[in-house]
Amino acid sequence: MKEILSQLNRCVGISGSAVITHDGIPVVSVIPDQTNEDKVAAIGASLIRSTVTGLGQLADQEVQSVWLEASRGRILLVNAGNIFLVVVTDPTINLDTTMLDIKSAANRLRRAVSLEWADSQK
Amino acid sequence: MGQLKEGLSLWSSRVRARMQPSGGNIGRLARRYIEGGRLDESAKVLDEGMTRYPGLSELADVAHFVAQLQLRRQEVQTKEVLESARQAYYQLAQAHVSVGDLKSATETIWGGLQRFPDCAPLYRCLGELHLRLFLEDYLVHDGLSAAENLERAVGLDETDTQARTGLAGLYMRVGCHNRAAVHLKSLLGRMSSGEGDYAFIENLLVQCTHQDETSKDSSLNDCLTAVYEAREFAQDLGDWGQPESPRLGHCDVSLMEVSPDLVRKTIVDFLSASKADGAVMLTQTEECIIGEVPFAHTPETLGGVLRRLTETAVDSCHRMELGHSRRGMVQLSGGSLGIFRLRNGEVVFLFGPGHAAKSVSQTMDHFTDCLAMAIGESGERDSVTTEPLRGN
Repeated sequence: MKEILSQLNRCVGISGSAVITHDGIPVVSVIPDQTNEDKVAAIGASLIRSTVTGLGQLADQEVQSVWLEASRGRILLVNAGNIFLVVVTDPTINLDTTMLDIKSAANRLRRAVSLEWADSQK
Repeated sequence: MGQLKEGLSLWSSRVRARMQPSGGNIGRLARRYIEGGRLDESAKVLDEGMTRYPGLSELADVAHFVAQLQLRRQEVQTKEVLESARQAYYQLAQAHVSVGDLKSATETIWGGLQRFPDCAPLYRCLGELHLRLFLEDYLVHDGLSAAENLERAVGLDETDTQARTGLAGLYMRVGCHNRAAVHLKSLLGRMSSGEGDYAFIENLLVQCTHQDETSKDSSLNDCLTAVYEAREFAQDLGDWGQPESPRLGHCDVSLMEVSPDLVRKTIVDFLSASKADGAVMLTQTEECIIGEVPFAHTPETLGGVLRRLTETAVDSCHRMELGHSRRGMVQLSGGSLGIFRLRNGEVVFLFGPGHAAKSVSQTMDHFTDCLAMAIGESGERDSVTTEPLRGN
């Protein structure tokens, strides 16, 4: 997982990424600054709890992605099966291009988690 | 015949004098040029003379004098060039600020400060840039940078009232009254009573004195942290002491306060022609559902859920130090939400299934244009403010 995140972070404009479970428990993160690492995990968890418990349960819908744009950056949460991929980006990046890399990373994470789960069942 | 000989002799001596002038003649000619202000010609003549009569004291004295004059003239010219370069850095930085390109403005200022480390206007420009960001987003590091650079500007030029006003405004807003009082006193000292903001500044100074008696000032860092945590200022000073907003930069709609009635009317008009099924308008006091709700939500709970979601979104951006949130999007298995933020509330557009993220994003862009048109056409310019977020 860390390798997938590290590769994702090499894309232009991405300043950090993390993996968090649906109930907001941080799994792994690759953020250059250690202080921000904890912060991203905590904030990602809070966002997931708010969207998943608020919207998901109420309308019986699954949250696929959350995208927030602020004056100095963006936060993206992408559903990758049993986990969420959290990505922090610069405000100026071309989201269409970067979104392809983010979705690709989410798919790889989804596969990695499925394989780990299958291994644990053997 | 004799006259002819005499004339020829005179002409010949003149020619010889011209071909091989004496040291004295060269000196005289050089002085004539100096008197006429033609230093370059004088230097040229002296250079030739010194080559012909090396070490001749008469020429050496004049040459030294010319060199001094040339040096002084060069100094004046260089100072003029340097001053215009300082001005050029400052003007370029201001131009970047005026179009909202803060990154280029910062780079220009740092480039200028490397060459002119004692340039007060550049420090002021940098300080004001951070001050504007601090007033928008309450981030501690912006506040510290604003204070540091404005203090440097004042340290280099104590007559810089613009920097002092910015500092006094910053310290008052974050509750650092001791520090504010220093600059308020200085501002009053440079004004005559009845002039401009004199009464206002005097009133602020009285408040500082009163605060000083009742409580001790916390450190600047503590004051800034308290403002960051509360997301509001210790005191509302209106526009006073805040730098001008960019005139030609991209308009930040999330900092605009628009009357709820106008927003509601715009949403109603917009929904009839847009891809969104419905919208929920959230203000501080009400939640208003407009159009259809394409989900299985009950209208009573939808507003509350969306309010909690937008509050978390705003808080997340703030805690991540990403500044103030502008807009957002949530994609669900059975539809999408497009969150559009204004200073005094949010509008959440509701989309049924089958809308791509790009379509939602384009719809929100379109709503921005519709809102701008509505503001313009309604003539309700007075109800719209684009000032930085302020507390109290």
